[in-house]
Amino acid sequence: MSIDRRKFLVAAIVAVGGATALSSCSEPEAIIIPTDDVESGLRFYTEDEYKLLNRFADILIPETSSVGAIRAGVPSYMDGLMADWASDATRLRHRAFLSELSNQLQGLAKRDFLKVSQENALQTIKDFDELAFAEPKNFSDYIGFKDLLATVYSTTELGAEATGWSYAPPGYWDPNVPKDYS
Amino acid sequence: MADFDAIVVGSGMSGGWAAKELSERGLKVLVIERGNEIVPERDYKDLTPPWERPNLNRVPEDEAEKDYAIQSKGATYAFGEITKQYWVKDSDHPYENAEGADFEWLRGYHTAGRSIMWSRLSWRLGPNDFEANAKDGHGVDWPVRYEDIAPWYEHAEKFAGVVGQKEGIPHLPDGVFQPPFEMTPAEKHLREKVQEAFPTRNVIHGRAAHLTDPTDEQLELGRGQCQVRNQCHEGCSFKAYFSSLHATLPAAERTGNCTIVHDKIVHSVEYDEETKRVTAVNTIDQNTNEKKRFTAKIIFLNASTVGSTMILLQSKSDAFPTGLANRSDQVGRNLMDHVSGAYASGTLDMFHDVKTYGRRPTGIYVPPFANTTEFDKPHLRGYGYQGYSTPVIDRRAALKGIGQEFKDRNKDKPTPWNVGLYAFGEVLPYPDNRVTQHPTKKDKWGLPLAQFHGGMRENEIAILKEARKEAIKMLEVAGCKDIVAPEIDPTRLGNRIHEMGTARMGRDPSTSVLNGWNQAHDIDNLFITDGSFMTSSAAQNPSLTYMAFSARAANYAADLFEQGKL
Ligand SMILES: Cc1cc2nc3c(=O)[nH]c(=O)nc-3n(C[C@H](O)[C@H](O)[C@H](O)COP(=O)(O)OP(=O)(O)OC[C@H]3O[C@@H](n4cnc5c(N)ncnc54)[C@H](O)[C@@H]3O)c2cc1C
Repeated sequence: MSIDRRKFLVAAIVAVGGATALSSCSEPEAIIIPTDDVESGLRFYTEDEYKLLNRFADILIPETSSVGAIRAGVPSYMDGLMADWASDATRLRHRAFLSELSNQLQGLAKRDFLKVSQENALQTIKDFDELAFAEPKNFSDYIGFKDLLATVYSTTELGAEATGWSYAPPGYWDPNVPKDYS
Repeated sequence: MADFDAIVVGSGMSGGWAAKELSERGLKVLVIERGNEIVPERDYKDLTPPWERPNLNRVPEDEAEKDYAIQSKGATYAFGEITKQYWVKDSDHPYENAEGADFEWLRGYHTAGRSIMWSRLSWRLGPNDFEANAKDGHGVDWPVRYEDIAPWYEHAEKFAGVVGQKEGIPHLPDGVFQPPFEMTPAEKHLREKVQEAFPTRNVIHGRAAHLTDPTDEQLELGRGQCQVRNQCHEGCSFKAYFSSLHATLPAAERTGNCTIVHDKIVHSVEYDEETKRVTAVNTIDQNTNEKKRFTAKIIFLNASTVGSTMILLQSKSDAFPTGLANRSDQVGRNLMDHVSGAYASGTLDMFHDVKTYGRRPTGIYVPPFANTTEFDKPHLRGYGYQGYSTPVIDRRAALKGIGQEFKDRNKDKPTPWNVGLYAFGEVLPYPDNRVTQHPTKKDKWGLPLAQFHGGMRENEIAILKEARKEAIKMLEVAGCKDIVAPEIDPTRLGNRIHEMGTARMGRDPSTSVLNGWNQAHDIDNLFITDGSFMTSSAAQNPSLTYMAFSARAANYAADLFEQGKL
């Protein structure tokens, strides 16, 4: 996303009356962001990047009746992925994306995104997400990022159990199974 | 006194068959494999759950670029962290393309070769395929006809295990089948509508080398029922799909007549001018560079099309100054493959309330119809389509939202189906599509690099253009909406991993390398039964044909051996 896009984005959010963009009411100071602990320390992310990743992942895939991204270990998996799999070019791009995302969210929240309340953070990301999907071709990195988080989530042991994705147990073939809408 | 009755060079799809048949006939056989040994119980990782596969099972990007620059891009579905062991490192095994050529050489050096990674589609060629060259004058006439091979197809299918349904299609003959994987409702619908609108076309079950009802013989070999996981490119701990490692090599070994050595690169075959026979192969150890010579009364080359061709070209002598068995100058020429790069997919707005369970390891097939049941085409030969159907998952839409909304994307929803048809076309045998020895460049064992020449031509492009149009028509008659059919984008020669033809069979020793028994015209005890023997490519995936010809040639060689003629 270019700087111009960022300006446009904030303007657009204001235009559509995004809740967080305009909410400058006071926030409690100590915001606790659930964090996926990396025992041996971070290998790729800076502390701030990791906090942002944790906060985003927690809001995207929260702990509900099924496991959330933090307990599934998505952020630490991402740290390993970036350290062990990504090339320099991919790392650079990912880092630039995170920085841009941070700026965007900060712009929308009108203050340090990591310090806004959970409720406010949720609304900020929601607004951002809606805008991104209204114009997906301008936000391909963001959509790719979400896709990656979802893939990592469904690849972790807890996430695989929760989603039924990614794991093909020994079984059989049935091409005609009624869907379950319950 | 020779060390062995027979040497088989290469333990892959075709070499496994040669080894099995020769050892079952009582010959003492040595299989020489250039790659490392794979032991399923030790090396297969198909049971590794996703969370234990490093990095989403992706090969680190730098490593992929440095070591697998070609292999990683050729068949992305079969290349990952736990399967990279089945692909050669391009950094260790370079090759060259001459100006204008863009051949992709995709391969694996290890026990069982590419029979570990293959997609298992197994069709017979039809009577028309064995007559095609004679009819339109491209290449030379096959020295055999369908009837000669039919019993050997049956032999191969019975032992390997192939799923399918009898259809009575003359140009895609039925075989011995195990029960097929049932079609989805969308596929049944497509079948009905296409066959109604085009009475000369068919939509059939994929015929693939899987066990759905294993025979006693298959069970005795330790093979089990297909578990429908579609992780077959990783190897299969249930040994439910056919590979040399699951079937032919264990069958050969249980005779007590077969020895397999690994890590030995065969670089040449010795020829004795007096007896006019080949007598020995020379090897170099891939790890230690130790040189070793093995002698035998019969030699089978099964090092894969390009592998065997390079061995022939490297085996020069006074009698064969341009390479063993190359009096016709055909060794290395007529390099074929199949061509893809035309497809269409669309949405069937029906069957919203059903989904599939399990991961079927194959799909559907539209057998060739151009120039078999429908004529006046702007191209020679034909094409078939591999097809699939799946409930539509709009990935992008599914990524929208956050929190519970995002999590709910995993829930069942009413959806239409997506149906796709992907063409595989025949490639003609052009003498100038060829592989030669690079004049100067050598690999790390001092052997000349393969250099490829040529590529896809007019007929292949014409096939794709037609295939695209016809795919759209078939989806339309089925009532598909939102049909997507990008402009054709021809695959590169080699990309379909069906390279063949560089030591073709024929009737005339001056224009072909092998006779109708896969025996070198000039050398009675030299047989070549990997894809290099193919005289034309047909449109069908070729491995079942390699199996049938390998079994036939091995039994012919064993007959001659018993008669004291070899
Ligand atoms: C991803 C993928 C999908 C495929 N899908 C299909 C399909 O659906 N249907 C189909 O029909 N085909 C398919 N194929 C193609 C199929 O795998 C090949 O046609 C088949 O394996 C060729 O058999 P082969 O014996 O000629 O060679 P290989 O199976 O490659 O075996 C050759 C063996 O020779 C060894 N070797 C090579 N050089 C030497 C040497 N100098 N000395 C000693 N040993 C040597 C190699 O290490 C190897 O083990 C697919 C292939 C791949 C990779």
